[in-house]
Amino acid sequence: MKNEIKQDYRAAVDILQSLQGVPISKPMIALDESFDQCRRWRRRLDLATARNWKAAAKDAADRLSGALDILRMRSLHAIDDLTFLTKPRLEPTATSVYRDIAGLRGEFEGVTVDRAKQRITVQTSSIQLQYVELGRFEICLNWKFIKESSPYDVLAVEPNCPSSNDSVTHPHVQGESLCEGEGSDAIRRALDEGRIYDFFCIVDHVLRNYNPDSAYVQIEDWNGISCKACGDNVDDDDAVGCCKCETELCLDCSTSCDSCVDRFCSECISSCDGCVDDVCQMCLKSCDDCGDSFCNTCLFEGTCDDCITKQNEASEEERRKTEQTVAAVHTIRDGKAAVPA
Amino acid sequence: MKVLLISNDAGGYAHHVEAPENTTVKQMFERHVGTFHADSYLIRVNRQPAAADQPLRDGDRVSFTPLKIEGAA
Repeated sequence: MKNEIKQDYRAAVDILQSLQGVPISKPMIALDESFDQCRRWRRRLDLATARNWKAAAKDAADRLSGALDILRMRSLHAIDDLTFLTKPRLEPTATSVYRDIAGLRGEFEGVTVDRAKQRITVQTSSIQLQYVELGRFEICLNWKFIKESSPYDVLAVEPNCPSSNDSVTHPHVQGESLCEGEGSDAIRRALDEGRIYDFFCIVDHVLRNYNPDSAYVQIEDWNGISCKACGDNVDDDDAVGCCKCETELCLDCSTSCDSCVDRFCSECISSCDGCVDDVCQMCLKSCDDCGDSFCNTCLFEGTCDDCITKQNEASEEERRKTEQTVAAVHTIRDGKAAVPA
Repeated sequence: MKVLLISNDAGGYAHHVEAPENTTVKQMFERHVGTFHADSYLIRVNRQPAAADQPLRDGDRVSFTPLKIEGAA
């Protein structure tokens, strides 16, 4: 217990040190870069115009226009940053940060302070959203990066991922990143002010809520099978596996073979060149004559109807020619026809 | 008396406010946050659970964290 207090206090001092130092205003640095960029393109435009280099002038004008656009956007970010900086801020102390860590131990079951890795990890209780059990999550704050934009990770302890995306562990967590949504400003402010306790509570609350309008995967699509063709989610019982490649599909996206009645994906089903029925590649046979693919019904002893007809016609023609030849021979023999000299 | 008031709603803020002696948690909430809904907020005084009628003391840290904070994608 005494050791824990000592360790927590030392961690609090470390966190405080990470929070101190000159805050780097990234929007202001970006603004300076944009100014330089605009000046550079303006000089080139002036030069090209003075020398009557039309193509170069047009290029410089286009680039200056783009640089000004970026400058406008960065100016807006800088205004936001200034507004934020001028708001009154709470200055943390080692004692306040220490009390936050101690408070976390009362609020959450699993709190780990790892000074070597400069990390505090809090484990949430099990989270269930709309009857889907997502399990417990670990929120790991890397205090070394506390002033960076996202100094923490959110990891599922026993991930229950949706079938459609195994990098999503929560409707608002992809990989190990939480998309903070409404909590974004409060989280940033809590971290900036060293309110570690509030930070973990806010993240915990974001994890306990579901925003159906903006989720990596809708919670109603969590369980079941995602149809690989249309992307719809269907119950396990309604899903069909292609009998050839085993792709999982919904009933609408699978096609039944008219010969064997098994179901197939669009890649593995073909059609009979004769009756145009849907037939799987296993049930299709090639005609011995023309080589086209047919279902069993459309082949007679390995030959398709067209080829049989052609064969019959050819036989008929042969027979007719033979009869004509025989008739001609009889005519000559009987002296009814002139024989060329 | 002076109390550190933390509201983790929206942008989130933390500042010291003056309050009359014996101001309760509920009164503090209604004065600075809005209509009191104990079910919608995690209410903590000095990082400990607190009842709505708990009187605050000088130097207390009172925080209101909404239970409903929606993430995004």
